[in-house]
Amino acid sequence: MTPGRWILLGLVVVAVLVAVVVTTRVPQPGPNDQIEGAGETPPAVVVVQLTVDSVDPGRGVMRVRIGLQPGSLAVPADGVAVFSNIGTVPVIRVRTDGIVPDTTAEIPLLTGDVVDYPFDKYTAQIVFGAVAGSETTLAEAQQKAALPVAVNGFVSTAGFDISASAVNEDDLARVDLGVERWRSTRVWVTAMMVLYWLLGASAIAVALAVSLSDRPWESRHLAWLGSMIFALAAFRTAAPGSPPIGTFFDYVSFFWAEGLVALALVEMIVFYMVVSRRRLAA
Amino acid sequence: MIAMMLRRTTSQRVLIGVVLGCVLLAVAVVLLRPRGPTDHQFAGPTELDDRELGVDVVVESVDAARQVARVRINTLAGATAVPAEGVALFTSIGSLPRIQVFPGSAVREVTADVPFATGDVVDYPFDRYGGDLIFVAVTDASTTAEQFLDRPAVPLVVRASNTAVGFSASGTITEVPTGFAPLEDLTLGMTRTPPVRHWVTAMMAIYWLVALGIVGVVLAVALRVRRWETLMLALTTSVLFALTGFRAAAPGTPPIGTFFDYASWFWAEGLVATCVVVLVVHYLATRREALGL
Repeated sequence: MTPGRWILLGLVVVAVLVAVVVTTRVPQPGPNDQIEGAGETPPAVVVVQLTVDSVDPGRGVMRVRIGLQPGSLAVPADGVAVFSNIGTVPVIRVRTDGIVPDTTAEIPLLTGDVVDYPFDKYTAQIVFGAVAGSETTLAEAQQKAALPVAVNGFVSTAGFDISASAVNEDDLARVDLGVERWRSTRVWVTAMMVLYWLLGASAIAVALAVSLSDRPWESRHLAWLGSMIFALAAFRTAAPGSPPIGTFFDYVSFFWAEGLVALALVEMIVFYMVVSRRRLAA
Repeated sequence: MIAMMLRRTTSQRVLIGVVLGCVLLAVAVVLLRPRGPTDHQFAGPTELDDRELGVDVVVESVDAARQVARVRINTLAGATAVPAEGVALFTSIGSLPRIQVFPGSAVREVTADVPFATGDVVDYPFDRYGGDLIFVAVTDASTTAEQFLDRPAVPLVVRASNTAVGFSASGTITEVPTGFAPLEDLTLGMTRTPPVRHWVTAMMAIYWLVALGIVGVVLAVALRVRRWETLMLALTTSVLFALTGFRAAAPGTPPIGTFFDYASWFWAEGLVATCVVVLVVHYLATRREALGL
């Protein structure tokens, strides 16, 4: 068999292996993942089902869905008012005989900045407290004894690992959330940074080799470098989570690669214009 | 005509064959494409009794990235279903806790975003979503959520339809007996339609085949099975660009970072970008004579 056919055969084997691996990794439906570190649900009158639906680092907020379920302790006959530190959902009223619809809210991320992409980490804090009487106002709540409340955390957001530590103090449930990018995201974006540098360095190296007459001048180099500028910009859209321009990733690799390729292109154009026709043809 | 065909060159015969094939394919597509009204209903009875209040839930669209379904709820009352004081229809939708239905204006239409309880767009194109919608209706349109235990229940029929592009819907409606009015629980399941799944699977295969094709070409050049051509640099770079453009063909505009990306697109981009670097290294590290320059 010729070497070309050996290469083709190898590629076919790789393609079959890829198909097998991808087929075995096809996602299966299932319930939402429980937040890591959420632990066991302690005895409580009301259990808050907290689901993190999405994280928007650009706006510095996290969207959560809050549902309430009865806990292992008896709910008072006049219902329960559940207070939280979420500005848009200050109170959820629970009657023993009514439907409590799920509520969605955006909570601000306390620390962290998308500018650190892909190594950005965030924290958020949510506090829940419950008192007897579904019609209790916040002013009245401070005069009443707090009822035990527990929190169950779930994740249904893409691209982020979320950890939680729940603390029960004075029957208030405080949930400290930690958010960071998936490891696969960090690995892929790191690989992209390496590739950006390799591509930028390649462009400079070829331009230098041509201008030092180690390689012959070819106008195809101009086509290659010109298309490379576009290709690098398009390649950036492969960064998961669509980060805004101006993150760590950009300053460390993307901007440098674009700059290096543009520089190489300009250098080749100058070489083409300055050098004599005879030397170009040599 | 056959004699004329035989007198043509090979390229001309190929061209005629391709044109004929395209025409036949176009005719087949036009003839086989489904037309006319389609029954979108996937759950609930088709008929409505005079005493019943019908609730038509239409899934209009699915925003997978936000994990919500846009639903339209139409109430359609039977002839004697709505008493003079009207009907209050309570739902489990946070933004739509109560719908008031009055006699004489029995058809009422509202829309709301319903969050899914399960499912994640990260599994695209194999993402599946699930959720529940609960309805209960009582007499007197002015009834509040705190009062509805004391009101007589109105018989309710829930029917569900799907008009969301790119999604198939399934569901069951169960009556949940309670101490007061019975609840109608619509359990909703949404998946991508088979054509979407098949096309995205084909895209994954195309990504891998194109990337492996480029790897093969670069290996052949680097191992000197084929001779060096500077045009290879432009080819690999333009493929790097094209792979990104091709992703826009994924239906539903999935966000970056789904199963589809991790299983194919990222790999293809990474392999082709590496090929550009390998070509440059080969170009610079090999002697000019060996390159044939």
